Amino acid sequence: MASVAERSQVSAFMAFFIIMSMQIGIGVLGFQRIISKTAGHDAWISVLLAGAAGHLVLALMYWLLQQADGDFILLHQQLFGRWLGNVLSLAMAAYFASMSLVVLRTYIEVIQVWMFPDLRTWEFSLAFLLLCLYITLGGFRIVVGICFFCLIIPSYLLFTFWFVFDYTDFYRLLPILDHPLSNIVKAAKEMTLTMLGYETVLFFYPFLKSGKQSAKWAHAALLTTTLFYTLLTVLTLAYFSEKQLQRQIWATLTMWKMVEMPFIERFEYIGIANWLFVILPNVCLGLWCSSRICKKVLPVRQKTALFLVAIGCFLGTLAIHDRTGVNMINSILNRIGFYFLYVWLPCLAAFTYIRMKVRGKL
Amino acid sequence: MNGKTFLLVLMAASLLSGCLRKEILDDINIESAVGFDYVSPTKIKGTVLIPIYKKEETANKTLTAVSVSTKDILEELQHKTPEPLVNGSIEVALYGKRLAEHGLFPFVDNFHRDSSIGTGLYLAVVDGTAEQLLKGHYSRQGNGIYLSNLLKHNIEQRDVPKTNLHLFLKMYYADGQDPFLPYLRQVGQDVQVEGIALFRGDRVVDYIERNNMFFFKILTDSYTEGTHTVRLQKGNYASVKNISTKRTISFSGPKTRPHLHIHLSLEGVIREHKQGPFTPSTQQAVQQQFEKEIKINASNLLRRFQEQNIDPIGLGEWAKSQYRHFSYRDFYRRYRHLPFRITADVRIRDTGIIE
Repeated sequence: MASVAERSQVSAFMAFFIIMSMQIGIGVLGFQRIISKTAGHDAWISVLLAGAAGHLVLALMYWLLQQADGDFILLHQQLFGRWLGNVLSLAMAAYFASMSLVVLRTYIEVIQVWMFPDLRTWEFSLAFLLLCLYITLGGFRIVVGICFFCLIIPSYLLFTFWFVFDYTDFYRLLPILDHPLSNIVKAAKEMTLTMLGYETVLFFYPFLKSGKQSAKWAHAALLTTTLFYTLLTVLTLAYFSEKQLQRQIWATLTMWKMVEMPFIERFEYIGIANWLFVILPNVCLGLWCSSRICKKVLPVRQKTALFLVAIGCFLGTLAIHDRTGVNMINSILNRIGFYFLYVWLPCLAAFTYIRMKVRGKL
Repeated sequence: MNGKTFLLVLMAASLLSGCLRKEILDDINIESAVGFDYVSPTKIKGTVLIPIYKKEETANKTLTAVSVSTKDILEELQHKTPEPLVNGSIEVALYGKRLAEHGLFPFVDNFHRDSSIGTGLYLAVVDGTAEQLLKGHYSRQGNGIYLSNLLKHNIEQRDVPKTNLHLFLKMYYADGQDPFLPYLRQVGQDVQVEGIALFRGDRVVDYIERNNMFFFKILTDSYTEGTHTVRLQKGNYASVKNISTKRTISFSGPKTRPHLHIHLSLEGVIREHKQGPFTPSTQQAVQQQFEKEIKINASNLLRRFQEQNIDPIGLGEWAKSQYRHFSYRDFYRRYRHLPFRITADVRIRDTGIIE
């Protein structure tokens, strides 16, 4: 087992909160449009499919972790040698950093479009990253605490979808499977970004008290997220007509526009403000994972690495100016995530398996 | 960096992000309703209604400007007010008859795009001009609230089908449905719901009269609370308040020759009965007569839609959900001659507190 002091470890069931809070992020606000473009009213099947694929990959991750004594960086080194292995691990650090960047920049765009058009990117980015640094510097246990609260606090938002029910026609979901299977699979691929987040388990695994037992919690988290996304997709498909949905950049937010309460005229403002809680663990854990890898691979302290990564994220948010840019980084991350989860990890598993066989024979 | 400096930086950063444009209620003019009218093929006239809150009542102030787009009109109007105009709480948007007949979508897009406007906004078509209707003086709460309440209670408790910006856009974008909006008219000191304006695309092509609105609502909306008076023999009549409606739309036959069946089942209570006690036999008579009226009137409406080649019920959407690999084009090519059957089932549940 990788050497992590017990006082900085957390219980295995916390994996549930970490994974779920990491998965639910910025994608939820507008994934429906993207998947319904290819799968139409069958998009909810794509969500289930993406969830199922996620379970397979997660099981694979746990298997890989068992092989390398719970240390993914060690696994890279074992397979590719010290030098190349470390380069690959650093690529993962960049991946997690860019995940924080994408989430933060997309959220800033939402604020700019929906609430404050004259908010400048750097102002929010700086304030938010400072908060994230403050949390992350406290260590992994603090980050987990944030994950826990940031999943519990905004969960009340679920009830707001009640208001939408008045305007849903569920017959729009019929006939089921009216689209070719290839389209449904393609849409499932587009779901990757929204599903992303459970791969953090590769790096926080050593911080779980009884790692092996955390598998069931990780799977439970993935299942819950998948069911939530499916429900949301079904609701969205029934709420909008197909071509109307395709014009909504943030379908979830547009649905909140229908919420009417005597004391609040525009509920989406509350929703967007609350969404800060949802993305906080996303960014924090992204930064943490990234800096943790740097610490293990490079001769730097985690604190230094953290500052560097945060500065990188800050500069990154400044470099993206408009909708096209935000769209681009989202689809790039979607693609990288897809290849990482569904191509690279199975390859790694295959290498590990072959290596085991060869060694067994020797 | 120690904790204190960190906190300082954090505070500075959060203070900096507070430097955004503020909108304090006393320093802005809040639009409560807007209206658009046709001027020439390229120009429209916009009217904005601003409530001015006084001690006793709300006065109405209207501003008008002529320009090419809705946003442009708003900019034009800013020149006429000492305080900035904001559109976050528009309750009603009205469109003059002439504009609606020339196509209304370009003047809805703005509302659709603007994040500060709720999708619960009511849209309506006005007989005459929207400007004139907005310039009237209707109630102490101000015209904006008056108009939105008028539409709201008629939707919730009477025979206006559910409608708002979201539903209009939903119907407009759907390939298998044409939108409709309530049709208002100024009558002296009041505004009344005159009927329903039916669209083909974004142009009004027909109007449903007031006495047909009940049947229109049960055809388009699955839930209604309207009241309908059934005329019986010998000058007798009974008023039935509708409690719940269930609408079943189904298609039979192959995709190339669909046959439509609409079944409407209603449950109601007797509100008024002119002659004598309400016996089981009169109940039977009322139910039968009501069923007959529904069948005849709903069929007439549907035939009218077919002649106009419009689909406010959304039959195309229903057909799509019942046939695999459905083609809207083929469906609407045959729409005019689509054979249909309408059946009704009325059940009187109660007769009020007397027999």
